[in-house]
Amino acid sequence: MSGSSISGEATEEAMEALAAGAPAARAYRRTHKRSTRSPLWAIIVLVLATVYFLLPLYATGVFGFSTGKAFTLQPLFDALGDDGFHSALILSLTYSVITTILAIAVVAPTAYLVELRFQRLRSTVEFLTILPFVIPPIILAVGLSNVYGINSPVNLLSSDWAPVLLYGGYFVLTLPFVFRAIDNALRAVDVKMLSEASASLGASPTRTFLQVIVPSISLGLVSGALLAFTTAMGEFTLAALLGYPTFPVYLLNINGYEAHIGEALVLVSFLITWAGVVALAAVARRAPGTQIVRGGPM
Amino acid sequence: MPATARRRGGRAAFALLPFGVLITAFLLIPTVSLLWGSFHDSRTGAFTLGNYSYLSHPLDLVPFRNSLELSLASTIVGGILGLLIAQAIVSSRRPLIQEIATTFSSVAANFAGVPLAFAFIATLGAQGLVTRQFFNVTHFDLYIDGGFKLYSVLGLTIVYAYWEIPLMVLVMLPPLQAMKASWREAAEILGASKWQYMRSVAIPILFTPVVSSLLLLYANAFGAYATAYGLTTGFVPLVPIEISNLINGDVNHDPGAADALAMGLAVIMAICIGGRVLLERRSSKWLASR
Repeated sequence: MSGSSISGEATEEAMEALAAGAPAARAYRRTHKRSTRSPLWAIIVLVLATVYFLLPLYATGVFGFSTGKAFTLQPLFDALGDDGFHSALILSLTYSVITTILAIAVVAPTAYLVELRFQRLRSTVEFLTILPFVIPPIILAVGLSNVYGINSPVNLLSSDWAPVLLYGGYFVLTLPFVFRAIDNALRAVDVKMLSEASASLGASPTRTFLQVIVPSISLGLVSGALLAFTTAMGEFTLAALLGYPTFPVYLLNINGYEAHIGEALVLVSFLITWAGVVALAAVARRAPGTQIVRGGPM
Repeated sequence: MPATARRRGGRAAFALLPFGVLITAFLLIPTVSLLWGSFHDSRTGAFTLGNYSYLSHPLDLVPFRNSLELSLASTIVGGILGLLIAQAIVSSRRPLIQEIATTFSSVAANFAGVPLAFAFIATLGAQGLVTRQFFNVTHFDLYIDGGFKLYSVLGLTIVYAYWEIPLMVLVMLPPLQAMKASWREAAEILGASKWQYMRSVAIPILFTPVVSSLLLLYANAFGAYATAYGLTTGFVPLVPIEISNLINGDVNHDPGAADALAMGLAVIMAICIGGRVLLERRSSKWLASR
């Protein structure tokens, strides 16, 4: 078989031949031993990439943690002593925890019921869970302040309603990640069989969901929760435009007059991001297919 | 039995209610309000096309032009370098490198917004580490002599690349890893040159995932607000920045114009995300079975 042009079918044939261990393939493998060394170009590319990606972190560290000559942790202590930092961090943690609980508590039963009973709603629900990618935070902020802002008859920004508007917005922003994490986990188990078995033993649908389904999709719930939490922790756009002084908003303001504190806290938030990814990667190792990057406009 | 089933079905539908209510209240109604608001005068409430006047005034199109340029530049840079790095990771054949690179890419792809902006101000700002070191070595000031600005389209491209590259790496690693060595071997046995293998096997298979990834990168750059705002505090006219100025600014407060601009942004996002969904639906069968 020698010809200079290869067609699709020919490739397929050759692949089948290889799979069957045809003599030609064995001879080929003998003469073309795969090198186990990394090619030089790959090493160069990876070294250059490492420099580009570490440089900003190094520069941030130099600004945040040095007095000009010596290493110091003073900016961190300054931040810890700052009341604004405390309240911003507590606000962010509170919003993130409640967003996470809300997202899991609402999305998990929905995804379960869509998989079990409402397959005909699947395409609609999937469309709705992709929609937040088309409506990024900056657009959502405009829409939310149209409908629930200070000039609206339903003013959710007034103190009576406190952070309801932000929870609603964060539910929408985290929906694509949370739904996908839970839906993937649900599809990996036989939801119908589990539910029918549970029902035939006399369990109510609620009990089936809580005691049979939830434990069997626990990894999906954990990764969904981590994605929701990290998204809410780092979210700036909605918080800033709707006027909630969360940690990222505080970071923007403090850098204006206390740049050292700002840069030190940048490294802290990098470490928080890192911790979130490591936790997600740990989940992903036990449940392949787990998404560890959000991939939406920030 | 059917009665029970129906009752169960009714109860089950009831359990979908919280989801429906939240989505309606915080996604669908706000989106419809944008569409409505963009065609109505925000003071009089009368129907108007005036909010879309930015489409016909060259000066008002500047934010769109800047955003298009920035997104295109960071998509090209992120796409090419991301693909190169992803292939380097696969070619390195070191599981440890692959694991470290994947983890770091995930961190970098998620590390956006205000913290990223400040990290780059410390690096390439007027007083940034690289700016000063570069001056110490070459006596060439990037800002004064070179006219460089971090808060320009070029500067923003460098910053956006910090998450665009790792995002490209992450989305392209699975398809690149799925390219079986046996395909190349088969092509070589059949006498194909490297170029013929690329043209007839690699490129057709990788075309769909690459285009789909580029659409994701483009949408991400176009819709990004926090990073741009952190770097420029609103000085470079980009679409997301203009939108926020129109709803927050005291001087040029104009919700109707903000709605119209937001609709323009939503159309671009819809094209990118819609294209991605369509491409993924007909995603190559070669990559599905690993």
